[in-house]
Amino acid sequence: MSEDKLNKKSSSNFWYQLGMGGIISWLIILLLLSWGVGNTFLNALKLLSAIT
Amino acid sequence: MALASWLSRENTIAPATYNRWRVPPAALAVHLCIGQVYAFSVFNLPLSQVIGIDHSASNDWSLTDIGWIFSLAAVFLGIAAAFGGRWLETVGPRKAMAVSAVCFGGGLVIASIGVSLHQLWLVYLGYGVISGIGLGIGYISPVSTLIKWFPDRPGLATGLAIMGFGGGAMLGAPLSVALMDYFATPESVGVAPTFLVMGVLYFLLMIYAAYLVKVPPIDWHPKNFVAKKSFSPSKGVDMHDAMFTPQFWLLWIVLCFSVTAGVGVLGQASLMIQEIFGSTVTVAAAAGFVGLLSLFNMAGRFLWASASDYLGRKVTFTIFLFLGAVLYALVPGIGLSGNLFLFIAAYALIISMYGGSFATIPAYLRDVFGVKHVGAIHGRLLTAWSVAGVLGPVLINYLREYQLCIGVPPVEAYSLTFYIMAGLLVIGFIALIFVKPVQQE
Repeated sequence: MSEDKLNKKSSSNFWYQLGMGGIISWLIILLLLSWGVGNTFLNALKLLSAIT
Repeated sequence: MALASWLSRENTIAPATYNRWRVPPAALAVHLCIGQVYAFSVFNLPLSQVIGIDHSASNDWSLTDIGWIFSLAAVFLGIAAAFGGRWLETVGPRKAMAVSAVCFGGGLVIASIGVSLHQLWLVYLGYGVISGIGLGIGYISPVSTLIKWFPDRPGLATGLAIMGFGGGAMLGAPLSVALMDYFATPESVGVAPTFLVMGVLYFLLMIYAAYLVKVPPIDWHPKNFVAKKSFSPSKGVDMHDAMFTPQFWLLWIVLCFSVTAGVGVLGQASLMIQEIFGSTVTVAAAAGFVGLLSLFNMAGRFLWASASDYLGRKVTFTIFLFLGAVLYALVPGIGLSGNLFLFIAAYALIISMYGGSFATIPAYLRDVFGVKHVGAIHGRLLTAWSVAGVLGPVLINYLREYQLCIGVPPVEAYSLTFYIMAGLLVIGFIALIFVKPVQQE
């Protein structure tokens, strides 16, 4: 098998590896990130709507 | 003894079957914590009213003096990253992350004592020097670790880690404001207890990251992945040798010029959009524009770096530099035409590429110099960021003032700066053309 084909095959189990890898630590990080990003996004939308 | 053993590199080597997706949360956690430095400006006003509480008393600290806290942190970030890289590669990421946690958290605690005693030198020492060292070590250690776990997707790996640094401000700003509101009393602005609580919280999260982090065994590679010879984990150009290659300095120029414009714009975004569009954009709307830019800064780190695995590093940087130059050349015209939507869209794209440059450069270093010493080389290359951090704001601020002084109307005061930024990106593009992988022999 060529090098490229082998490399594609290795990244095809991305979702399996993501799901099986440290669910709790991923949840903590995603929770923190989504709180920060969500807050910023909503504030940005609210403030940009002030454009006259 | 148990602590020394837990921190040792040998104890962080993962078994061959270890799931590498357990490691990115450790990298993200560290960067989410240290990214708080981007949100330091929320403390500026309260720190200038520690004694007067609702106004600045005569013996309160001036905003100029307070400004030095962030500048010192930025300087010590650069110094620690530049000189801590080799140490990091020797002791491993767990010890480096633990030291970073002690410095960053401890620095905040010292700054808290400094605010309580109203001793500015203690705040400089705590947040500026000690936390700054924590920032530098904390910045490079997760990047160097993830890049070794993802030899098949180095862009994704570095994007994941450095995305957290962009997200740190989004987390740090509302957290700081909420804590200051909670601790504020008629006798206190609440900064000292806020620093204390944040120091403890960030220390705990960073130590949790140090607990999670693992390094792959020597010559480990993902299943079914065939590494090119130069990307073997045990191979790579030594840091000192790398610094004597033209490739290092060409990439230094590429990074420096590709982020100079972004650094300057991010600091002046609110004022700039108000001056260019006049009364159309209120102060509140300008704050929304800044928030939007920080979102694109963070998203760009992950998306552009991940895309570079497919596009190739050179093509990705060509897009940053070429498209960036075109956009900077067009922005003055867009501003004069009054098309606000197009202006915001152009800036969102520019800032996404600014974030993308930071996240893609470690993967590019790995392509050029190999994996083994990439952390140390990355640390040295970050001096380009320090230079850009001075050059960008100086260009934007001084040229704007000069233009206003010679009678140019505010709406056109940034045009010359934008054209100079476009020129810098063209120089970066010329440097990029000459970057080629180093012959390791």
